[in-house]
Amino acid sequence: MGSCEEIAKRMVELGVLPAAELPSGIRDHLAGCPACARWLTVARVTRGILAAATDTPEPPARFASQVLAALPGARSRRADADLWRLGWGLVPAFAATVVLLLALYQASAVPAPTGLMPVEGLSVGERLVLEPAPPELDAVLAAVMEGGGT
Amino acid sequence: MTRPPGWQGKADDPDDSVLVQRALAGEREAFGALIQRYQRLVFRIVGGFLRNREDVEDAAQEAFLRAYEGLPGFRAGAPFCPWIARIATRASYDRLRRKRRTSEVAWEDLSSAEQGAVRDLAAGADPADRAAVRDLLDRTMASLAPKDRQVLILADALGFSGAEVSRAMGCSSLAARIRLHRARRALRRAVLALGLGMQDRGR
Repeated sequence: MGSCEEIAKRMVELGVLPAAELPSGIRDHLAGCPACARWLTVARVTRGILAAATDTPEPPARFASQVLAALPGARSRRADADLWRLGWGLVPAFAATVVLLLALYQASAVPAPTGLMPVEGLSVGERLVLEPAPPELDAVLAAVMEGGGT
Repeated sequence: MTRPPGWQGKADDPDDSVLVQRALAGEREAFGALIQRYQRLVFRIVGGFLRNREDVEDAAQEAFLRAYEGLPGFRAGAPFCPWIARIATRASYDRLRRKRRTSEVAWEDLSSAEQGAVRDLAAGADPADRAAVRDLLDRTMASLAPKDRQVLILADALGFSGAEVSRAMGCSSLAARIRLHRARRALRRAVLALGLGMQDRGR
């Protein structure tokens, strides 16, 4: 017949055994000792609860790639790369557009530009600046700039 | 050479420290290899704290993101395993702390499946309903302080050594031992309350 001391000493070992597999001496003691029976119950349930902690879900197959995608900078760097790729892709299209416009300009009979604003409303000074100056005026202007005067 | 416990990769796979250096140099695939290598350990740690599958995945991802950000501070040549274990523990702890704790576990609050699981465990039988045992784990652990739960998961469920527990928890080994002793006592008390409830109802 087991004693309370023996059961306390062997609690871990006894706690993993099903009730039917306990040595008969221990079974007899437990039948007459509610305190030991209670502690053995506690040991078994505690062990079972802790064992459940290792029964955890497996990582999903794409877990590593999910984490890598969530790393700081992952999204912005990829976005930058995409933007550069798009930019370089547009260079030939831009060049082709310029060539086409030049060709169209050369081929068309575009009228020469005429004056964009009526000169009648301009002041004398504005006319002096905007209108093509007659040769004699160059001499007048040079004199004014040099502080001379007419 | 450092590898996670139970690593089944090839012998010529690069060492953890090589992968860390490559990751620091900006090689994301190297960090991906570290994730592949340690994801099961991280899931086991996090899964011990959190029950909901979504919470487990989120906390595991959070742990690896924190690890990536902390790589520049990782001491060259130090073992990667306890370092990532510590980060995973903290990520779980932070998430757990945000969840509301229940004060005690009462037999009446258990579902019939959980009560059946307690009876099976008490009889030394292997409970058929694994989900019920996991619910039971969550319920009894929720009655403990998060740090008590942390030390029980690391030491008693995952089998970390005293030194590994103290490294993972960021405390001295004496503090870890005291914490473990207190946590075991708290869990026993919670289980004892369940057992008494079971006996009161004439099992």
